[in-house]
Amino acid sequence: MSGLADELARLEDDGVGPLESIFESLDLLGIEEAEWEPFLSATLLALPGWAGMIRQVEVRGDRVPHPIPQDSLIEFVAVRLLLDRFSLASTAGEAFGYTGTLNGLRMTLAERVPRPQPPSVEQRAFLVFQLAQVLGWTPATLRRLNAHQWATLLAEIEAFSALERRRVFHLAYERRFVTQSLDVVALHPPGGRGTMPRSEDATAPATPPPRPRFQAAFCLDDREESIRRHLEEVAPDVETFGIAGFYGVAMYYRGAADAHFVPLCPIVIRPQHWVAEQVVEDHTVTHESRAWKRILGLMSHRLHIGSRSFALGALLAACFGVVSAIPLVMRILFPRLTSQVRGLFGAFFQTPPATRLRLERADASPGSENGHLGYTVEEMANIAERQLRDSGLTSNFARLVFLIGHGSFSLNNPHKSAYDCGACGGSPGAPNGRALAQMLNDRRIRERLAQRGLVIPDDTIFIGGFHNTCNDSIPLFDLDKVPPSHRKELEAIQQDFDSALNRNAHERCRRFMSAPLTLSFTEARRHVEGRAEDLAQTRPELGHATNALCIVARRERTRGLFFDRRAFLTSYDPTQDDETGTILTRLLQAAVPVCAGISLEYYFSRVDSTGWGCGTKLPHNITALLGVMDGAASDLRTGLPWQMVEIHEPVRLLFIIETTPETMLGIMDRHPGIGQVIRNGWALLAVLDPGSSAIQMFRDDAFHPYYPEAESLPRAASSVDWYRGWRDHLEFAEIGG
Amino acid sequence: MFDFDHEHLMVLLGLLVIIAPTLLTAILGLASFMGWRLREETTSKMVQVAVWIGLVAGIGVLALMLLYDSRLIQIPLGNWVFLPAVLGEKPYHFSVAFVFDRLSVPFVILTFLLCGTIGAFATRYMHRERGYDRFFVLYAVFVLGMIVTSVAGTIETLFTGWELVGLSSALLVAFFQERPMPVRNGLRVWVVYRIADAAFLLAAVVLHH
Repeated sequence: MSGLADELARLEDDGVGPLESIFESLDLLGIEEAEWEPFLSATLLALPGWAGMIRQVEVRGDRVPHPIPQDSLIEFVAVRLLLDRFSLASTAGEAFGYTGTLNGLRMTLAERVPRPQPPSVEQRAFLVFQLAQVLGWTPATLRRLNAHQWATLLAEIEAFSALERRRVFHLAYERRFVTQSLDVVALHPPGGRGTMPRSEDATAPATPPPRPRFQAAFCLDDREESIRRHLEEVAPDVETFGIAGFYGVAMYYRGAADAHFVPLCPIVIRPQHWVAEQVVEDHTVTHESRAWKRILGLMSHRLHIGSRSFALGALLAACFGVVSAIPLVMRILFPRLTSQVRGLFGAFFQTPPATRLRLERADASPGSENGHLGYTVEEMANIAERQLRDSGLTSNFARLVFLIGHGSFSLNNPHKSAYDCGACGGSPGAPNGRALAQMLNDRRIRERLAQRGLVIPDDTIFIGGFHNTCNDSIPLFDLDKVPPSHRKELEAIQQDFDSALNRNAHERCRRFMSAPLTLSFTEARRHVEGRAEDLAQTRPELGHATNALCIVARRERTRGLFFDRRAFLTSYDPTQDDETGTILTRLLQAAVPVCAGISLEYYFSRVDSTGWGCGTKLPHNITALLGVMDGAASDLRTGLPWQMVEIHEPVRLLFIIETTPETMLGIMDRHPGIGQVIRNGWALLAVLDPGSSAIQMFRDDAFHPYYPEAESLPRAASSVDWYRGWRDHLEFAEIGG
Repeated sequence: MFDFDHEHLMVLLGLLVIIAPTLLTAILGLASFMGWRLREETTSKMVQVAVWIGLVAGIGVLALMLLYDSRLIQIPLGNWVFLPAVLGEKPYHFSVAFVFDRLSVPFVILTFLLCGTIGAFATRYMHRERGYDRFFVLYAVFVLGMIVTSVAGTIETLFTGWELVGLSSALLVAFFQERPMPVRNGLRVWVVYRIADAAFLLAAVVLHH
């Protein structure tokens, strides 16, 4: 690498910019302009992971605490090419004494590289041999073939290449799943079993539907399919909805204990608003006790900083180092118990403060500084209206409506954000449901909604919540605001949530090989709580593994169906939408990139764990706070670890959308982001007729009618009756009487 | 007939300390060698039992030593090689012996505590990982090596324990054997241990003169 220092000094002195340096390098390497693109692509991909990460951090500086300057990617390429030049020269010199210019090196190398040979006779014969084995051809049969027949046979075999063979196998593999999914939706009676018909469905009776005891909206996430199903089994008088988990509140959010604002919305959206959580001044705490807490807090902070300095650190380690082994050993041996004890201690020293979201803005322009945080009343009314209309919840409101975001908390897990809410850009979506609930409870916003024809009864209260999908808990927010008139109902509903969560944990446990199949509901809940607190647990939960379906329809079409936690469920009422599908377009603009993105991430990480996934999690180390490496030095390992995808079935996501083919084609034509995903085969699409159970499948750029292959659906009395005792993928089934 | 006093009890407990990891290594090693597929639960149960037996026995030895104020328990396992005196040199004994005193017993307890914690961690961390069996074979060898090193009564015994620790450490560093880096690092560890061996052997020669 001699001469590198001189070259760098020259670049510095002459003020050569990165782009000029790239042109210089391309020229010196003898790359023609026509080859620039493939050559530069190969250069970018030479160090897997890094170029992509630099570009992501560069273009989405709002998603990282420390953005990098513009054109960092160009600088990266310039440096790579510079190093390539010098290492090529020195390697060629060492290897075969090459002393010429670099642009001549390719010619020299081309002569030395062996040409690809056509397949040998043995290689061609081996394929015939394999085929003969599979089809049971005897030597006698083969001997009778004449030259023409041999030529035909070989041509047929060689035309059906290995890649093509695998493609056909994969289509067959997918077909089994598609058939099962479409059959179950087609054969499920419209209106469902034990459902609460809500809209003016042609098949529903004309009597007004009864008011549900409560309503609960969850994220459209596939993991929320089971909690909705269990909640409906525990409380048949509930109505559930699936909404993209950012609840239309696209915001940069900073929690009371956070240092930075984090964007909470799908990756395709750039938020325009900032929201902060603020601690409510607590007047019940006396001055002295607060002073004591401050002293304690200050001391522990000093100690924490001091233990990282040389002298104090050595002293502390020598005197008390052994003592710190006790909590460590306890944590490893009894994770759940230790976390409970720590929780008790924490609560003793510091009561969790009451907080509120700062949602309303007085100033004209939104921003991240004080005074510019939040939304205007008009903006909030728009968000609220859109969420209600999109989900179809426009009438027949219950007394209590829950809006539940989700996320996942686990320890020692660099891939945590892959378990969090995809519709919140890989962050926990707790503040979003909470924010929408706060908006919908606002009198002024309700007045504006009433003017626009959305009348929310005075006795309807919205409550935000958060589903921790790892330990299966649902804390609810701002309960102090719930009036006494609703308290009793709320307590009963919290019990329903609790039993639904126990059952949900139980259903999840059937996929954990380390959880016995004989667990009871409460034991299962304890098991998942232990997983969340376990430092050694590489599978705190299984994330989106097995996701394969995305159903955009009224809940009546799917209520009472067991989808085995494999379906994204988005609530959409086509009877409230217009001819062009305005509402559907908005829903799909979030659902298609989010769901297809998740599906493809799992698909590719599963089919090539080492290449597109990031292999096993065990040797991973966090690097540059950007990603993980294997051990101390490796490529930047993007993609999902094997532990997350090992039970995933690599099939493309199947969208089943309750709409007409014309509306759907219109949307695909107008929105290339949606159209390309479907037309280019990244996901499959079927439409379900809003008035009947007819299904049309999108294939070769047109919709074709689908005829169910099954005649009836398997049926079980409850979810647990259906899945109990099974570890593997389960057939979809009808649940209930 | 058999006078079962505290001396004998201490020797018995001392033997347990050594036998527990030896049996664990033998069973896991044999299963791996013969290609018997043990279930994950079986392996982790055996690790758990062996470590608990060793730990309780170690604590028992310490308690009895404090109770009866004895400072030294020796468990000789005889001379394995005997070379008679030649040309005025001293005769050479290759003897195996274990010594439990107030230095070695705390080391034994610490070893079982730390290795037991690591074993409990690894049981869940290594769940469904390729090489689960291999890991626990090496782990058992490491625990055995640490225990033998801690209670070695002669330099030859110490050397045996040290070799077990060195071998298992190097192979554990190279656990992810399909990637070049861990294998390279394992080799490095192996080389460093060999340098220590040379010093060890020199010390053994000096001690015998």
